[in-house]
Amino acid sequence: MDFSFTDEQLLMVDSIRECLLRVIPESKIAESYETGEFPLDAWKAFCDEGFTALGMPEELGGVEAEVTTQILAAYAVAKYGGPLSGFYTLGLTAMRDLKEFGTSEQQKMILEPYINGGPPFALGMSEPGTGSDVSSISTSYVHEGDNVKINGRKHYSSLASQVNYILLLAKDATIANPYKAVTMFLLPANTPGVRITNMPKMGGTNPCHICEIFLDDVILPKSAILGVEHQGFKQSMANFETERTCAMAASLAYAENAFEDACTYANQRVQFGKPIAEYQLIQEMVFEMKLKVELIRNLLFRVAWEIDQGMDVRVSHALLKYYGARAAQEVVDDAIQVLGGVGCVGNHRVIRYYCDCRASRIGAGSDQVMIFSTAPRILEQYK
Amino acid sequence: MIVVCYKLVPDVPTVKAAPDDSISLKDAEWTVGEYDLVAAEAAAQLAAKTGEKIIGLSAGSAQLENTKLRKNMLSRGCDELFLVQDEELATADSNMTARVLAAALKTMQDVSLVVCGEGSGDMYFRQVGLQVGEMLNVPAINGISKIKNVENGILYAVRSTEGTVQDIEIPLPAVITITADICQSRIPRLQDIMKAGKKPVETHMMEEYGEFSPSVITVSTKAPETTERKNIPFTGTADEIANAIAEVLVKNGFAKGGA
Repeated sequence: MDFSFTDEQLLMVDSIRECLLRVIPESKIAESYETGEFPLDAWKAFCDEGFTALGMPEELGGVEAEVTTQILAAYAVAKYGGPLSGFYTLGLTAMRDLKEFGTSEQQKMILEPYINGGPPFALGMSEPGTGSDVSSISTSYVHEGDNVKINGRKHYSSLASQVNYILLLAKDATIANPYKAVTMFLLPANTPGVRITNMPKMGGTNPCHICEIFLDDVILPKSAILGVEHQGFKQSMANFETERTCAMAASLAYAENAFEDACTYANQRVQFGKPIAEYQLIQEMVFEMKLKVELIRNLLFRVAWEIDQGMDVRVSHALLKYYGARAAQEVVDDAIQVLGGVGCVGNHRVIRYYCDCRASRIGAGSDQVMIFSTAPRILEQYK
Repeated sequence: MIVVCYKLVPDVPTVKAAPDDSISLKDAEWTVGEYDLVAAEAAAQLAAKTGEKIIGLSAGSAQLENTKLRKNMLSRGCDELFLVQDEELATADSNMTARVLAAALKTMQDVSLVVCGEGSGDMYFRQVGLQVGEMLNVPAINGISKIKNVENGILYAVRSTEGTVQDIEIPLPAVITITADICQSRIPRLQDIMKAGKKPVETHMMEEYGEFSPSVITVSTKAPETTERKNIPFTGTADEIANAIAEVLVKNGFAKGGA
């Protein structure tokens, strides 16, 4: 058993860190959260160094890489890149769908600009009446010659107002069985009939928007179908395993950063004549924070490794998503406790992490969905 | 062929002061000196114009066996590495290091230019480059702040000193040391990282080049003495705070009082 990363993986992390410290220093990260403006110049500079090529097909200028390496990159971008992480993790998830299900024309149309500094594409799945229950979506389409006409509404779509394409789930209005009716579409965000608005986000102004998408008689050619018509439900399930694993790469980074902030502060902050790090109540929190960070890391890279081995991760990825999201939130919460007022007032990064980690227990499959979709599968093994 | 010299140094945040104020490298992580990374980039930019090969040359201890550090240099424009190893080199003074590098350079064919960083990332004596040039009996110029081009065996460059800028022509072969701001070190691209492990690395032991001993004896290297925090609060206007801080510094012997 070997837990070490390769030289190449470690050099990649060094490169990502070096690049991000140059293109988006902490002051610029803070500024983007104050203004709500996404630092597109920093994203472009980051892409220019070739990092979005990771895991993309070589014929489009990409660098083939295992999932473990991609997850390590996502962790590094979240650790050092502030809001760029929103683009990068979504990119890893979305581009995987395109690699797996897209035609070579679709791949060229979207992957090439992404590798060269364009935004990723957004996922249009959740609806006002449908969150976890993907099979019940009501956004629907009808065939009109070589085209389809789509009507409906999506919400909680990350970054939809900041991207050029949306991966949209809609069901064929003529088919009753929801599992055989859903289709994935690549929807250009500027298609007539598409209206996208930003929704207020927990924690206030944020450069990574969360959006509502209104679809009013939207006409798309059938060539916009991603993968196979009516296979959208199955395709989106495979997507979730990647999306959740990528999300936990970010959670690990946030928890680790918050933990490090808390330790540094505990060593410096003097109360009652000595650094608070010398009080055992603080030491207990530090110990538990460290334990949780390491457990998230172990689960995360174990699942990534399992995906690389072609193993079934239906149980393990759910364990990761459930534990990682909760433990990260607990770590950030403890970090804020150690930081005291510094962590609650002003614009310390732990506040951003707190909101992101809290939302992560709902997005990409809630805690409860992880349990009820997985516990029966665990029990099945003992029947 | 261009040679860029580099030194493996402990990464500063991982260097700790031991309880007796000696420098502890027990938990230190090693890295390529930051000025040397700039030198590597300056060499790579010149090589892109001249089409020459770049060799990374280093004299050091067993840290040179670290494959990640080798690939680090090889992902930044170096085509090959040439390494000279001996445990004595971990603490070698600049003269001994220069003698070892010069001995190695004498065995290398067709070297047009040797590029060194402004100083080493740890001791920063800024001596090695000039001494290597002297030992090889070739022009040795420090403070190069811009490399323009090479034509007919002449390197056209700019040398900055305090208050003056010199346009200089250096007949090759030569040794130059560059300023830290001549350019920004590159961020290795994924493709270059993946290729780094496939590039050749030539390793030698120091004894192959003769016997070397230090010309300077280091008695001790100490970290600054640490003192307890004094927990003195300063309040008032900016002027009052500044005066109060100055008073405390003078009182504790950190500054001299004056007008």
